[in-house]
Amino acid sequence: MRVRCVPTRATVQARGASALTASMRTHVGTCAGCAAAVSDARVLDVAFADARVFEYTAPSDIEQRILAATGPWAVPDPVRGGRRPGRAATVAAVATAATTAAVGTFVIVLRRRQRAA
Amino acid sequence: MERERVEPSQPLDLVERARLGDRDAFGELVRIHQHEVFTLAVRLVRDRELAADVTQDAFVRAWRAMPRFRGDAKFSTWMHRITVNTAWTHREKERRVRLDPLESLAVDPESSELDPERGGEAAAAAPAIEDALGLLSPTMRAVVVLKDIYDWSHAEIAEHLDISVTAAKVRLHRGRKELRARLADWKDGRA
Repeated sequence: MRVRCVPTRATVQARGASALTASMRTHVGTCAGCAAAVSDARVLDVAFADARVFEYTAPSDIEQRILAATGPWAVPDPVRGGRRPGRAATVAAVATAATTAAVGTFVIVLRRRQRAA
Repeated sequence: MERERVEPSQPLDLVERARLGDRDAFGELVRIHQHEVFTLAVRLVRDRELAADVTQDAFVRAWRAMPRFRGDAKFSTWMHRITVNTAWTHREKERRVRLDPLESLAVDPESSELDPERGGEAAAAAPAIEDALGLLSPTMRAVVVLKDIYDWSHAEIAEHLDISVTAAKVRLHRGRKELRARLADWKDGRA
């Protein structure tokens, strides 16, 4: 292994054969080890390039399965933009629930007292 | 069964219609993108049945999230992110099940439907790289796939796989090294 081999092979391994500088390319021409490393890297580059256009065919029923699993969702209100209810609406809902519970309890207690009397 | 990837394209209004709840438009998006999503899922989980489940779940998640899709990225890029997240969720669930990557995938080089015009080493390399990827560890494979095939940044990979950027870089380096060795064997075997 020569001095130029270290940066050359590091570049090839990290960024591929196309990233070599002119001086590294000159070195590769005179070094069998680096030439082999570049050759291996080029095989990998070619393989990745090919993988980018290679595709597995999805199962024929996948579309049907997806559409069967997707139900309609509530389309966001264009005015509110589908945001969560505001603070005022939440306070009003809580107040309504509390009032209903209080009135209900009062009526139940009142009836029990009437029965007891 | 394999096929040559066709760059998906769709009218912009298809995404917009789906975003507003049009299921027919979403169905069309599914038709256009199903194979590329399934391909990414296969590459990540290395099992066709599981990849089909991941594909289904990814599209269901996408449908539910459509109102939040702002169109900052391409629909396919957005789908890739959802697919990676879904695959990782499924992977956690299936962790106890040991899958045999070669048996479950069984990529047959003869069955590939690559363009014969391309021919030579490039056309033959796709099944070889897919096989070689299957022999990497799941995280290492995911890093290599996302970086070298889908061109994600280290930061994106780290975020989606829940690892540090340094870990992503280390795994990429090791993964490439392993692949180089395996592809060199494959090349020697052909010579």
